Parts: sequence; C-alpha cells; structure tokens
Amino acid sequence: MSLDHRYLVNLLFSTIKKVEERCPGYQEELQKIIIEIVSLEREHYTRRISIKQKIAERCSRVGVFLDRSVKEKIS
Amino acid sequence: MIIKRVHFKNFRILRDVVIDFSDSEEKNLTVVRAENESGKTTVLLGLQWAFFSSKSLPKESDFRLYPINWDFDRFPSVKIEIEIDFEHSTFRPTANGGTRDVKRDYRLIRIAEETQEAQSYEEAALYEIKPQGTIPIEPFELKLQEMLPLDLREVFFTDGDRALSFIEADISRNDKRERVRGAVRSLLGLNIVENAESHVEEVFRSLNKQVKKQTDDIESNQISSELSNIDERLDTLIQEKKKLSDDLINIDLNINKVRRRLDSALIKGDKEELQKQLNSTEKSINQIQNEISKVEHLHTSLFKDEAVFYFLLKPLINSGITELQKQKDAGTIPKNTVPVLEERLECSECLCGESLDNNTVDGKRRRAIILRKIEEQKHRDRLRDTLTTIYYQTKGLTQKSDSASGVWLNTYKSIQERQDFLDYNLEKSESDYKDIDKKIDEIGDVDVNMLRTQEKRYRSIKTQISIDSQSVSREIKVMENRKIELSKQLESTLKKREKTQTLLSEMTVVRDVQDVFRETHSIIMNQELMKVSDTMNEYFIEMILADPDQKSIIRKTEITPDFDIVVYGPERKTLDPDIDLNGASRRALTISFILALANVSGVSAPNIIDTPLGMTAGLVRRSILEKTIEHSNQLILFLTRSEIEGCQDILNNKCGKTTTLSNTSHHPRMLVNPGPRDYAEIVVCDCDHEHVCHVCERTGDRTSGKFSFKSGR
Repeated sequence: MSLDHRYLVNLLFSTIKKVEERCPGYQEELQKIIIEIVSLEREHYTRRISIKQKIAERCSRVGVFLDRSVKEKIS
Repeated sequence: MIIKRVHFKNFRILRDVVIDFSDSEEKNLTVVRAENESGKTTVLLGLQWAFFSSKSLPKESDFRLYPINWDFDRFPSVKIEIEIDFEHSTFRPTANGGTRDVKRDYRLIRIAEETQEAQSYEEAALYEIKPQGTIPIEPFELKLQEMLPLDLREVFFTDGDRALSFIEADISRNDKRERVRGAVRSLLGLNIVENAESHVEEVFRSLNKQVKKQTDDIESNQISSELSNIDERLDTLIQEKKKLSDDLINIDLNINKVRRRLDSALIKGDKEELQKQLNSTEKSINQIQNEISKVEHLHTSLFKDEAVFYFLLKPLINSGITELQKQKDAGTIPKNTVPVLEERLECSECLCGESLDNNTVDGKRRRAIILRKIEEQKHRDRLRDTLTTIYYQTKGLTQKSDSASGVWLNTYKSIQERQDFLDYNLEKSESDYKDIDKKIDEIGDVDVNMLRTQEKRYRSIKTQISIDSQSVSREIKVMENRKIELSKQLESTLKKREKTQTLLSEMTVVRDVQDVFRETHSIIMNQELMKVSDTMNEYFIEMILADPDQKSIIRKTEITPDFDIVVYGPERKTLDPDIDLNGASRRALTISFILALANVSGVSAPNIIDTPLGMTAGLVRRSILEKTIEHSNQLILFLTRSEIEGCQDILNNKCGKTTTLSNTSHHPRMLVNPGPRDYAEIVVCDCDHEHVCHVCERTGDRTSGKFSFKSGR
C-alpha cells in the first residue's frame, strides 16, 4: 500500500484518458469513481468493509449517468 | 511526510530525549551523531514503535520498552511515551483532473505502561495541530496506516546492520524476492490495483448475471411489433373514419338540400299523396254507395216480410176476427160436418155407434149415405168453408201480428239508421273528393317523386355510411383497447428493458474501470517497474562511482519481472551481491533501490537510515552520501563520527539539523563528563560534526584539533 497514491492516481488518470469519452463528462466521472475505488481499497486494507457493494454502488451511479446522457443524446 | 520533532520518554535508554529534524527543502538532511551504544538504533526503533506500534518491534517475547536500569523498587511501573510532530501532505483531485497538495501538521503520541514483569497497556492518539489547538483524529490507525503503511517500514526505516535486507544472502531467494515485490507493490500501488481488479471483476460478474436474466426476455420485441401493426391499422382506420365522417357530412348536406326542395314543394301539398287520397276517397264513395244499395235492398225486403202485413192489417184482421168469432159462436163455423163424417168413415164406426164397415151391407150403406151427405154438405158449405178458413187462419194472425210488429219496427229502425249514416258518409266523402281534387289542381308539376327518390337514396347511403362508420369505430375501439393493453405490457417490459439498459450502461462503466485498472497494472509491471529498475541502476552506478564503459566490475543492476535485484558484471555475468559486492556497494545498492522506488512512486516519506556509511570510505562514501541526500525528500542519518569523516563539507552544505547523542554510561572512559543524573541515560546536545560540548565531549576531542568546544549546555 503506497502512501498517498499520487503516483498511482496519476497513472490511472493517464489511462482513463485512453478510455472512450462515451458521453460528455464521462472520463471525469471515471476519474471520480477510480479515486473512490482507490480510497475504498485503502480503507478495506486497514479494516474490512463491504467493498464489492460499495464499488457496485459507485459503478451504478456512473452507469445511470451514462445511460441518461446517452438517452438524452438520442432524444 | 516530514518528521519535525520527536520526544522520547523512558523508551529504553532514551529517558528524556528530544530530537529536532530539518524540514528545509534545501537542507533536507538531519544528522543524529552518536557513537556505538549511544541510542541510534534505539531512536530508530522508537520511531518505528511510535508509528507502527508493537508490530514493528523485534519478535522476542521478552522485548521491553522501559529503561533497563529503571528503579522498580521506587517506581513499580514505568510510563513510556513517544511524541512525534510531523507534517503530512496529501493530494486532492481537482476539477480539471489534476491534483493539489494539502499539507497538515500532526502529533502522534504513543504511550505504554510496563512493570518489570509485563506491559500493562499500550495506546496511541493522533492529533491534527491547528492554530486554534489540536484536534483528535479517529480512527487514527486508519489515518496513520494511510500516511505510513507498516509494510513500508523496512523501506523508510533502514537499519544499517540490515541494510542488505533486499539483497542479503542469509535469506532465501524467495524471501528476498518477496521483500522486493512487497516494497514495489506497496509503493507503486500494485496491491490496490490488483485488489481493485479483483473486486471490480466480481461486480462485473454480478451485473452480467442480472443482465443475462433481463435479456432473456423477448416479449417486448413481440409487443413492439404488434403495437407497430396496431398503430398502422389505427392510422388507416382513423383515415377511413375521417373519410366516412366527411361523407356523412356531405350526404347530410345533400339530404338537407333535397329535403328543403321537397319541403318547399310539399308546402302546397303532396300531389302523389293527394292523388292517393283522391283515389282512396273515390274508393270510399263507391263502397258507401254499395253499402247504401245493400241497405236499400234490405229496406225493400223488409216491406216484403209478412210481419209488415201483420203490422199494417192488424186493425182489419182484428175486425174480421171479431166477425168470425161471432160466426163461430153461432156455430156456423167451423164447418165440422164433413171432416167428422170423413173421420167416421175412416174409423168405420158411426157417431151413433153403428158399423160403417164397408164389408157389411149396412155398413156399406151407411157409408154411402155418409158419402152422399158429405158431398151435399160440401156443396152447401162452400161459403162457410171460406169463412171457416178465414176464421182459423186469422185466429193465429192476431197473435203473430203482435210479435212481428216489434221485430219489424226494430229492423226498420236499424236499417234506417244505417242508411242515414251511409248517406252522411257519402256526402262527406264526396265533399272530401272535391277538396282533394281541387288541391291536386293547385299543385304544379314539381317532381316530388324524384326528390323523394333522391332523398331516399341519400338516406340509404347515409345509413350505409353510418353502418360503415360504426363498424370502423368499433374496430378503432378494439384496436385502441388492445393498444392500451399492449402499451401497459410494453411499459412493464420496457421498464425491464430500461433496467437492462441501465445495467448495460453499468456494465460498460465496470468494463471501462476494469480496463483502466488492467491497463494501469500492465503499465506498472512493465513500464514503471522498468523505470524503478533503471533509476536504481542510475543511482547505484553513481554512488559506487562505477563506470561501465571503463572496465568496471559492476556494469549494471536491475529488477527482473520476478522482482529479483540482479547485478551484472562484464559480459552480463550476474554477480552475487553477498559475495561479489563489497560492503559499500551492498549498502549503496539497497539505498539505491529504496530511493529509486520512492522517487518513481513520488512518495514523500523520510528516509531514516542507521549507519549508512559504515564499511564505506573515500569517494564512494561521499558519493553515497551526496546521492542519498540528492534523491531523498527528507533524510535522517544516524552517523558515527567515523562515518562523517571525509564528508564534513557535504554536511556543512546539506545538513539542516544535527543532534548528538551521548551515553552517560560511557563516562569516564569515553565520555569526558558525567551525566546529569546518577543513572545511565542518553543525553542530547546540538553539537555538529565540528563541535563538542561538555555533554558530548569525548576523550581526546580537545587534542584532536577536529572540534571547536562549545560552552554551556
């Protein structure tokens, strides 16, 4: 476990830039979720939390955002 | 993290020791000067205990924290305390996807209480230091773990005696590999990436199951298809209905138009109707006339009836009967002789009782006499015969005339009434006939019939249109009902589909997140590990002043993908660090690995190294020191006087703080002056490598010419 994960987060961010911008703001949402997952993993490392559920909730939130954006685009 | 100050209380030999550390960026080096047995290792151990608790302590079961020379007779228990002030910077993501630093000051206090036999308790607290005071942080273990994880203890707290922990020979290759892997994984975040990959994969599988469940449903497609057909049919029907409505309006217009013309024509009378009425009236007249004829005939017949005779002759008959009654009373009539005689002849016995038997002579004679008498009588009674006849006949008539006269009168009355009625009707019908005939004459030649035919035809068309329209309406209603029903079903299935869509979007997100972690993992394992390896090689070569191009033995070092630290000699021959490298190179290699890892990972933690320059000398020592200072964020070195030899100028330039530790138990043999208390302890002064004071003055210092003497304490 690294200290503040700046390096890791920067690596993750640079990788996110390669992900398709599926809707406006999608990569930004991915950045948020990635940071959240990193924080959850850090927390989970020190004390067990229901991490799968929490990750699922975050993904669901971005999923709804994506779904809504795509629908708005279509309509 | 930058450690600013530490205060030890009763931690082993450090009874009351305060050390300040340099937090300067330019002079990032803090030197803790101490000779052997002067508390260097204890300070290193104390820092680790404060940060990582007992988990960081040697595993000996009887490891004690209290001073070995504690007076348990006077003080049965010892309170041990270490207080560390430090600054920690974290980063926060910014809106534009970057990061910004957030620096905060903290105070960590760890305390324990021990008796001679055992530890009573151990606890710790972490506070954030703010201008307005300190704020406790809960749960502090989590925060502390984030700031300085336990598994990096060996990276940042390096014991000189164990400086080869990543390459030392007395542990197995696997153990060394695991140490390197552990350090790389921790500092580069591989643990997080791999754990995240695993957890996200679980989320993906779970979502996939849900989506599979949802997408098995093809019902919505069928409903959509049927709905589409209904919509098409409804469009057609609505068009049809509209056309029929238009037709209905047009036909109504036509009907109204014809109706108006017809009404206009009929306002004077319906010629055809009048004609019919005329014919009908004529027929009625004929019928009445026939009736009248019949009644007249009845009337005539009535006067032929004998009842009329009785009725009319009743007075005369009564008079005749009176006269005849007189005749009868006189015995003139009825004329009974002949019949009586004839009767006697028939019964063959005379009134006188004599036989009239024709077989007898007397009888024959008597019979002849009677026959003669009968003939004579007949002749004489011709008139009387007539009177007698009349008498008997009229005698019945008086009775008949009484009854017949009543019947006849009633019949006559009835016939007369009927005749009057018929006469009246005839008169009225004839009058009507004349009126109708007159009206017909008044109506012109408008073709009412044609108009009526037209109206009838229009009405027939209208009826047909209405039927068609109703039929279309019914079908529309059926279609609409079905549409509502299907729409509800579709809504339900669409909700499912919508949920599926959202799930699919979630899966897309999860896949992207997986890709990000997977790609990052790959980057770390390939590019970043290579970067660490290259950086380590660069630092190491610089530190040991090796020149691979000038026939140096050590040509290159690298971290293999299996996390082995390998040193290459000429022609890429691998060197065994434990055998083929000297002590200085081994320390340099370990420090290079630590610094490379810290630098590539960007982690800003202090490097605390105990006796890093032992077994080094000359240019290599200087080089190791210079490069270690150069590549460290905060460097805390525990140095002996001998280690500092030859590096004073470097310390002058780079050292921000120096603390000298002295063990009072070294007095009088090594330490010139005794300690302040009557028990052995570590005492502190701020003398650097160029100064001594009465606290740290060691035997021979004054005559060595190396130090300036500082007065005061």
